[in-house]
Amino acid sequence: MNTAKVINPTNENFHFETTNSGNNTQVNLFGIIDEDTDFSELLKFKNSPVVFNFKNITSINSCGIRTWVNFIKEFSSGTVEFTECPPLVVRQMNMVPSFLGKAAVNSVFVPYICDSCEHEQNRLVSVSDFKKGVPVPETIQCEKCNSDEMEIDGNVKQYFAFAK
Amino acid sequence: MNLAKLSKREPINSGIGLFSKKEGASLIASGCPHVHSSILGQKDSLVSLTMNSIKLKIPAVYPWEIAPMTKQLFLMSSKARKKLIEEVLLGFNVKNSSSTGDKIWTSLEELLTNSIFHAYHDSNGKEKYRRNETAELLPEEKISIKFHRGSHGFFVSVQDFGQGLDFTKVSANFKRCYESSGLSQIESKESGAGLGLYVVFELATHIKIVSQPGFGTVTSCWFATPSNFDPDHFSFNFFQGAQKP
Repeated sequence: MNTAKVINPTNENFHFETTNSGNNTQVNLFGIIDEDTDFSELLKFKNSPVVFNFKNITSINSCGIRTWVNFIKEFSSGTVEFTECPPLVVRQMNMVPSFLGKAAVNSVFVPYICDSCEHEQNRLVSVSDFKKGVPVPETIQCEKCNSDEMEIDGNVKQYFAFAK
Repeated sequence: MNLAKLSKREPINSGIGLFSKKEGASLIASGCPHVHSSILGQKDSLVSLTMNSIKLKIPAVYPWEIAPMTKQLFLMSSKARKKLIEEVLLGFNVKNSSSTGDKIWTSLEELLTNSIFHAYHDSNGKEKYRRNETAELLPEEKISIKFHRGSHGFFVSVQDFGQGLDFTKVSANFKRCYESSGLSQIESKESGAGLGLYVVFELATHIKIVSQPGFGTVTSCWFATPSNFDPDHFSFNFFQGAQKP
């Protein structure tokens, strides 16, 4: 397994790491996706199986959405998967269907907010489990104040609209 | 959203009722500049304010805009916007990584870039500043950001002194965003992606835009705190040419 970290010296807000295992590549994305983000280095993976991990993406603006949409449409022949998508990425997938391209989504973070102390935490949920009907817990225990009233921030059905 | 609310949904033949953001956006896309979604429908106090303001031909002042202590910052350069947004979040005592912080960050980023890159035109009527270059604004072009935190949410407003916004363009953008299959048109635009207000509408609880052609635009937003957040309670109001902002 080989890991490589790629930093663009002209854009301190974004970088990525690639991990190769056989013919499969995982790309871990870090930072902000905006008009300055350059994905051209990643186009070499467009014909092979690739998994994009969004866990460490902190922001996407509207020009970043366009940059990504233009990038991901190039991945039309290989197998593409998205994994560990935070709420801000799920929002884009729901708002802009072409953000997904032909990718399958493996897992997303579901946001919860505590009614008692307003602490926020995300829980990773498997999208295939959701599709099979495994319920997403409406409430969980708050890791900060131990209250049992930590609720999903939003509506589960709307949150998983991308999975239709 | 609970079933009781769903059962009380009203037909969407006006900008007032109980509907989803997507349905609200389709109303804006169809040319409706005033949209209120609330379980109270016509009885919502914000609706009365809007109706009165339409009669009087002046922009409404909503309760969420009013606070004794509103802070103000100015933006002079496109490069400084990240630092400014961080300052606003610090003023709110909200982390960037939180759900509310993310909503405010993204909305401010969109509103500021709209103001910098789309509000100011040159003598040929073309946009003065390009998205791929640093924009250093003239003193008379400085963008004003006001913000305050209330017990139920967060207020931010962004004011520019540019050309003003045209509602028909806003409406057309919403139409493009909500009705285009897969939004393929965003791929070929040269400057912005045209998604800015659409993104802010998705994130904010209430939006008010006051546009005065030739004098500029003020876009004000209210973000409900998580404990007060109701996905069906939101509003969008566009007032054009009513008074100098």
